[in-house]
Amino acid sequence: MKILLITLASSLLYLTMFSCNSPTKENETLPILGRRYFDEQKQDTVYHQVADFAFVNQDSTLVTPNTFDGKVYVTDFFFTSCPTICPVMKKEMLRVYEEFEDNNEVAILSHTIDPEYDTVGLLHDYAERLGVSSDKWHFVTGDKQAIYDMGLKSYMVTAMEDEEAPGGFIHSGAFILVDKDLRIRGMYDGTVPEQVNVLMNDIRRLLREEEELAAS
Amino acid sequence: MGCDGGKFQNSATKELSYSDKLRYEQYMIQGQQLYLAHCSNCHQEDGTGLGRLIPPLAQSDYMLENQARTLCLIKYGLEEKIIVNGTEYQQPMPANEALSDIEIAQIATYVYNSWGHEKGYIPVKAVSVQIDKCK
Repeated sequence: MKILLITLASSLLYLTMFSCNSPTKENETLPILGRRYFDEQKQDTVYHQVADFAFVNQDSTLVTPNTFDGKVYVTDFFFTSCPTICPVMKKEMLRVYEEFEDNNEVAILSHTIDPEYDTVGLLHDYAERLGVSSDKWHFVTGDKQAIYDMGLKSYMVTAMEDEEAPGGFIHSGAFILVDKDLRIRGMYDGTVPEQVNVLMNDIRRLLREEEELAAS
Repeated sequence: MGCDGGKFQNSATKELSYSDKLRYEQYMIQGQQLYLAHCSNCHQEDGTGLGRLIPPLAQSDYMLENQARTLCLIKYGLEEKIIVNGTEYQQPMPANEALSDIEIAQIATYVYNSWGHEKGYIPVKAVSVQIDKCK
């Protein structure tokens, strides 16, 4: 009996964990995350969208939602002097970059949460040492509070200063998948290779979905 | 584990005494845990580093040519630019002054006997002597 219970409990746990990783079946569309409400006037559901933003990337180019026009993008928060999870996140993001290097419909947006130290010049050097192109992978800096607000309000992740934390900042290790309508379609742990595999598969699913939508 | 020791034995540990072989095995197991806790975030689990930002440890000429220097920089970190396998790296490495000599010996034994390296057992006694000379 005890064994049966344990089996049941572990299969339940497995199911919950699995559903966290991949909430939908392969042929279903990805969920739209965040708060939503029904607009009485338009008689339509209004979904959570990424708010307007304006940051500067490693080439001093302005990056706004328009930069990602017609693209899906993956975003995260990091800082170059980060002693903890960032290098692992960057190694994993590099896999995403390499997988979609030749696909113009996919882009990456990494926000520094330490804009005082991570200047444009430093981000330029960082990207160059990582060996990535600014057409595809934007490393952005800007107003500190604006960056933290983007994390909390738009992407629903933690990113802030904390003197107690190693390196002086706390931030989520999440990779967030955003669709062409600036809606959040998935969140993945950027420090876990298996989750990043799910993300890469979800990017392909999202592109297929957008393709079918455009065709219909 | 037979007389020849366990799964971590390599050409460099052949001549060790039975008790040292055993201790070497323990170092490797502890060293791996410590490596995962203190080092692999940056140098990665497979020791390959990250682009031109963080140098590799696996097949690193810089690490393999000087064990004493490696012990010191595990403990006290590194500020200056270094060249590893022909590539320049400039990101500072943080110090880990809270690590004890035995922990440093275990980490060193692990990195010098992983990823194809066969440098053998690095006992804590030798590590302590070297650490005292770092500064």
